[in-house]
Amino acid sequence: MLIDTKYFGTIEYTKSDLLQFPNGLYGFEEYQNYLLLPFDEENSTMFCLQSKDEPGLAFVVFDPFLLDPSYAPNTEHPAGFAASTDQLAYFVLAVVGEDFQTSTVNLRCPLLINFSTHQGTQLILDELLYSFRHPLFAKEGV
Amino acid sequence: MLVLTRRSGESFFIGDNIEIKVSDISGDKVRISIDAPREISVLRSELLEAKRSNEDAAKSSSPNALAELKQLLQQKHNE
Repeated sequence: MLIDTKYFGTIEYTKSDLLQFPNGLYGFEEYQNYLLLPFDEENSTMFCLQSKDEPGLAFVVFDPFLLDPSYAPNTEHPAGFAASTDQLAYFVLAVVGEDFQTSTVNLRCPLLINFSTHQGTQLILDELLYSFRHPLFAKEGV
Repeated sequence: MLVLTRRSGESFFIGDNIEIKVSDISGDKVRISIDAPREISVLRSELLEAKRSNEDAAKSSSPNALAELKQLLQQKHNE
C-alpha cells in the first residue's frame, strides 16, 4: 500500500508495519494509526512517527536511551505493555528548532510501543526530574 | 501571585461560582475537589503541557535542521 508522508514523499508500506495508538497522542487523540520510519537506514538514531491518515502529521522521535543511557522512566506499565515484554521500546518526541542546536525532547511523555502487538501509548511520567522540553544539546556543544 | 494556606476540609472561591476545596491531605498528596460551572475547563497542568509539547513537535521541522541533527547524532552514535 502507498502512503503520502511529510518527510519522505510517497512510500510503500505493509499493513503489518502499522502501529496503533488506541488513545492517540496528547492533543492528537483522533489520529491512532502510525508508521515508525527511520530517518537513516544504517544505524537508526532518529525516527519519524508518521500518521497513516494525515500526511502532514509526523513527529521526529528518538530512542531516549541513546540520548541518555541513564534514562529511567519509572512507571506502572499500562495493560498490554508489560515490562517483561522484550518487544517493548521507548521513544521521545522532539521539537526540532530552526537552529537544530535549540532542539528539545520531551522526556516526561515518552511513547511506549509494544512491537509484538503493534500497539503504542503515550505516558506522562510522575518523575518531575524529566522535563517536557529537555535540551537535546548541552550548551557547551555535543 | 496569591498564596493561601488551607487545612483539610477548608475551601475558597474563585469568583462567585468556582469553589476549590482541599478534601484530603496524605503524605505529599493533596486531594482537591472543584465545584465549577460545566463550561469551565479543568485540566491537570501536565496534560496541558503534554498537549502543547506535542503540538510544537508536530510543527514542520526544517529539512536543513533535520539533516544537521541526523548527521550529528550519527557522529555521536559512532563515537
